[in-house]
Amino acid sequence: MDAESYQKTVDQIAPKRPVLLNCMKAFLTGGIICAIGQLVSFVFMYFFSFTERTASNPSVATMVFLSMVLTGFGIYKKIGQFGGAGSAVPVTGFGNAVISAAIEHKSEGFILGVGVNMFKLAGPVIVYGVFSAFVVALIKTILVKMGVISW
Amino acid sequence: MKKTGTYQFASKPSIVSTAVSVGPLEKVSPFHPHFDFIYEDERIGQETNEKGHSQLIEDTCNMAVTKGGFQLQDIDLLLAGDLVNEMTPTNFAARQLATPFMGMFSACATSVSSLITASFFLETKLMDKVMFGAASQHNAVERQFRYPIEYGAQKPPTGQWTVTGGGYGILSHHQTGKPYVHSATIGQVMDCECTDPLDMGSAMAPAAFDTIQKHLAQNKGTSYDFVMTGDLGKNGFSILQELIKSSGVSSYLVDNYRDAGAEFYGNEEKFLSGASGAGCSATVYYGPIYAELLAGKWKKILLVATGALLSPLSFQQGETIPCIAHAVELSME
Amino acid sequence: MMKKLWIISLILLGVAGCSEEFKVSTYHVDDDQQEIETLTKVFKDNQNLSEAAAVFFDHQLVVSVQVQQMSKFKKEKIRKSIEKKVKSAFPDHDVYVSSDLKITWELKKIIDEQPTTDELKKDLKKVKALAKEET
Repeated sequence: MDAESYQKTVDQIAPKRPVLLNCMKAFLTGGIICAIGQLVSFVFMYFFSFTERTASNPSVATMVFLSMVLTGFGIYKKIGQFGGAGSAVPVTGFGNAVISAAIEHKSEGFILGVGVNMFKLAGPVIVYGVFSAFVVALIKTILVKMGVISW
Repeated sequence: MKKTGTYQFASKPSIVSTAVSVGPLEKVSPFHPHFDFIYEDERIGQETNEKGHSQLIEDTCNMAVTKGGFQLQDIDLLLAGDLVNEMTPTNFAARQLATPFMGMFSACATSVSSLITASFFLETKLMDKVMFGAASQHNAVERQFRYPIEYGAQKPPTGQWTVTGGGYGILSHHQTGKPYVHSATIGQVMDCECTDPLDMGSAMAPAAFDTIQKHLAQNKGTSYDFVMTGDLGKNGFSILQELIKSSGVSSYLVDNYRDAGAEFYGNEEKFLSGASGAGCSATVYYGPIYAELLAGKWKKILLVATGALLSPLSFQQGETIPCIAHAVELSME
Repeated sequence: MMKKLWIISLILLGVAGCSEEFKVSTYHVDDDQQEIETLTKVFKDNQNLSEAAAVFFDHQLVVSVQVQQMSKFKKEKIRKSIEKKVKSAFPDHDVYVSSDLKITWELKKIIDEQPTTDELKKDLKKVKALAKEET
């Protein structure tokens, strides 16, 4: 049996991911999460002295806290199975990645378990986030120095 | 001539006793009336998943010994395995059981590879009672091969659910009224360049097909009640059926194919393509199937356990997923 | 039937949400109607605004503007152009223009309460400090 023709058979038989439906589910899930985030941000602005600019930090912290609670109770993975990227892309997905790894590795102790593995899944986001920010800043600096654009 | 790996056991070693225990989620399985013990706790009351895994193996082995009316010191050899790194759960359970022990690893095909090996030992007459089997624990296996349990990653419809459970049996010299091992086919590793670790069914189907084909070719004219694969899942099983249909194998006297993984959780959508793991084939083969053989419902069956021989490292390095399948033919007189 | 009703009500909601009327609220301690007129005209000239609030006090002018939903991406540009126009219209005033929702709320609170001079001075100081916070 050669691998190529076998892969064709697999492609024919394997159930397809319902891409369109998944996109809609992701849109809905992500939308709801972001709407909740907006609400939280309004609460910080309305009841506390935060402006639109300064409310974002406490809002993010609150959303991460919420995702931590949901992860701990085993609800977030169900949301993830339903929503896919819709629940992975917002900051709650980042929180879920950090916390699920921390819970998982608690059995190996706080240093070698939690400490070492906490950013096992979220680490790439930080590494490449910082790296791409550096690259973009570098490009912009060069363009500004050349006088193409201004800050 | 190339060896096919098929052997007949003239001494007809019998499976004299089996025991199967599963975790709490496996209660939904249509097979559950045949499970000897269902734990209420996924961790079997232990601090860590791995300790729970070990406890499950130890408990189930003890159960198999007690059910057969034996004692642990009667066991000549324990042949068993699991999927966790370096097989610590089985090794640690063997420490508690304190019987002569050899670890077996054929991934999810360990349930059958251990039975085949046991049959050879029995055939030499050097041993009287060999215990065999395999187990898996959902959390311990998932964390090793995939993501943390609570991580909200979306699984595709081809994804499978690792069973928490273990099935162990004791093989002894031929006894009338007990199912015996008629023959076995030791599979070869097949690689059809599948790379998706969330679609093990299609990776394993060619290995199952190859082993079934070899075994049936050596036993032409034999009529089987059914051929049951281990943990192909719904997706892998339909691919296997397609492979069988498009080849000449369908002309053999088998018209009933089954898959333990596809049947394990019934039609619960949560489990996607079905069950997987070393515990899947072990619990089904040595629980409900053994009980039905014992009751005389089946006369001759072929059990084909399949295993995906990957590690998290190998697929991250872009290697394909090689697979293996071992077949054992059980008969009841 | 239910589905149709849903769609219709959604469309109505959308239309109602979009065609929100442009509101200007102002508070002038000395009640100089002419200055208010001038300022209102600056706001009305810009098509992108949805809401504006302004407080005049002792040659200080604190303005906050909200832009329409679809213009949110150009918010900072709009704010700058408003600031430029207001500054040229009131050269003798200390002008401060913000596009922050919180500042709009705070200014509207002041406008509703119509506080005394002393309180107003304190309130405006607070609003300006708030607007300058970076993180």
